[in-house]
Amino acid sequence: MPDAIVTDGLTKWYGSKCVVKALTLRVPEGCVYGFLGRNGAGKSTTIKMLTGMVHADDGTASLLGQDVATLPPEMRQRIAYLAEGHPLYSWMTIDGLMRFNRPFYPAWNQRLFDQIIEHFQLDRRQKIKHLSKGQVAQVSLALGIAPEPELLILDDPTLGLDTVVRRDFLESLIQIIQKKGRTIFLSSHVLGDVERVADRIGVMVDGVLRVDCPTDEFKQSIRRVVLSFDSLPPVFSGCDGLVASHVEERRLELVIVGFGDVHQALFAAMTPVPKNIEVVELNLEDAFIEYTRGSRRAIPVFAGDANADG
Amino acid sequence: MWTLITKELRSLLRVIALALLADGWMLSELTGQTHWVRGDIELQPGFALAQTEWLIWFGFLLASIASVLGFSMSLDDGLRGTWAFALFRPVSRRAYIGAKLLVGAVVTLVLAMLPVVVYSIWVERPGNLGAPFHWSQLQPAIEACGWSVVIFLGAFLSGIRPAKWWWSRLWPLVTTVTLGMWFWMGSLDSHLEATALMPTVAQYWGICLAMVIALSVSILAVVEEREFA
Repeated sequence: MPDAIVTDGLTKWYGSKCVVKALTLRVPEGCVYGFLGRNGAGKSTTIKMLTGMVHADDGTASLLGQDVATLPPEMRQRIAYLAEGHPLYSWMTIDGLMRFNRPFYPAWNQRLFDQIIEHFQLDRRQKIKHLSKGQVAQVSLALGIAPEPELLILDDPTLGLDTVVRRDFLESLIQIIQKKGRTIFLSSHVLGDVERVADRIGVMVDGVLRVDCPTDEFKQSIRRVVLSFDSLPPVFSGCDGLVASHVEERRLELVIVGFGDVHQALFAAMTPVPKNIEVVELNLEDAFIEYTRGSRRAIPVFAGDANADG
Repeated sequence: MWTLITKELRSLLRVIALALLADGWMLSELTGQTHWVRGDIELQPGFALAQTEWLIWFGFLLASIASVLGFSMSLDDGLRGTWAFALFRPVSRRAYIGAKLLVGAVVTLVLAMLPVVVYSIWVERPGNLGAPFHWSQLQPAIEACGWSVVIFLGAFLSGIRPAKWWWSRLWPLVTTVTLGMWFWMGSLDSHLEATALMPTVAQYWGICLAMVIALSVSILAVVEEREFA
C-alpha cells in the first residue's frame, strides 16, 4: 500500500531550539494516524511543515507522493487541512463560507456538506463570529469533508471544546472514516480522543518521534516496573527501552517499552538485589503520560502536608 | 479568481465605508459646505485642487486611506489567524495575494479619484466656481491619486513582511511616503510655478509605474518565502 504521508529527517529550528528533530515517518493510505504529544512537543510545527505553512530547515516531506515544498494547488484539492483552533473568516456566514470554498473544489459534495450542517443543527445564516467554539469546529469539519479529500490533516481539532462537543465531533469523524476509508492524520494532546479513532499512533516527545506503532502494540509493550529494596536503591544506569526512572524512598520505578527476560536478568544482577519486582500493565492513558512526561512529576505537596497535619 | 476578488471586497466593506466618509468630508470642504480646513487655509479663488495648500491636504487624505487599506489587507489574515485556512485553499499564494493587491489597488484608486471626479463635476456646473476651469488643472490631483497606489503597496509590504515593527518593518511605507512627497511636491512645483527642477509628468508616471512593479514583485516574493506559523 502506498504511503499518504512520508517524512524523512524533517527538522525545524526556532532560533537555537530544535522543535522537530529529524522526523522520519510513514503513514500508509487508509490509515487513521494519531499524532500525540504534550503541548510544545512539536506536533503543530510538524503539521505546519507538512502543509507548507512553515519551511523545514532540513529533511523532506511529501503528501500523496508530492513534495510539500512544491505542493501544487491541484494537490490541495485532494487534501483537507483543519488548522488548530479552526480559523475561519469570522465575518462570513456559514453559507458565505460554503460559497467561498465550493468553487475551489471540483469534487465538492454539496449533499454531504448539507448533511453535516443539518446533523449539527447549524443555522446557515449565522456568522462564524456568533457561533460557539464547538459549532465553529463543526463548520470547519463540514468544509474539510465536503471536497471529498483523500487525506485529512487535523491539528488538534478538539482543542478547547467541552467534553460533550468533543465526543460529538469525534463520533462524526468516526462515521466519516468508516464511510470512506480515507487517510486521516490527527494530532492531539488528549489521548482519549485519539484512542477512539486511531489505528496507529505516533508520540512526539520534545521534538523527537519516540513511538510509531499500532495503537494496541503501544498499549501492550509498555510496563511500569517497581523494584523494592531494603535500603536506598542503587543508581540505575539505564537499560533498553527505558522511558522514565524515578526513585521514591526505597523503591525504584521504571517505565520500560518491550519489557522482557533481558530486563528480568538485569534486575536480578543488581546490587543490592531488589527485595521485590512488581510489573504493572499500564492502560493507554497511563502509558502515554509515562511516555511523555519524562522526569517531570507532580510535587507531592498535599500528601506531605496531610501527613504533617495528621 | 472572482471568488477571491469578491471575498476581498467584502472583507473591506468597513474600511471602504470609513474612507467614503473621509472622501465626503474632503468634498464638503472643497465645495465650501464645511470650513474645518478652510479656516486654516489662506483661500485663493479658483479651482481648489490646483492650489498647493489644498493639494497637501488632499495628499494627506490619500496617504491615510492608502495606508489604512494596505495595513488592513496585509494584517487581516494574521490578526484573525486565518492564514492557514486561506493559504491551504487550492490556489497559489501568488494568486491569493495577487487578488488582494488587485482589489486593494483598484479600491485605493477609486477612493482617491472619487473626490476629484465629484468636485470636478461640481465645478463644471455654472455658478459654482467664480474662475475659469480646465480639465488639465486636474493633473496634480490625478498624480497624487496615482501615487496613492504606491503608498498602498508600501503599507501592504510593511504589513506582510516579517520584521520588527520598531526597526525595519515600516521602511517600505516610510520610503513610499517620503518619495511621494519628494516627487509629487516637485511635480507640483513644475505644474504650478513652471519650474522644472523635479520630474516631468512623463518621468513622474514612469517612476510611479516602476514603484508599483517593484513593490508588487517584492510583496509576491515575500509571500512565497515567508512562514505563516
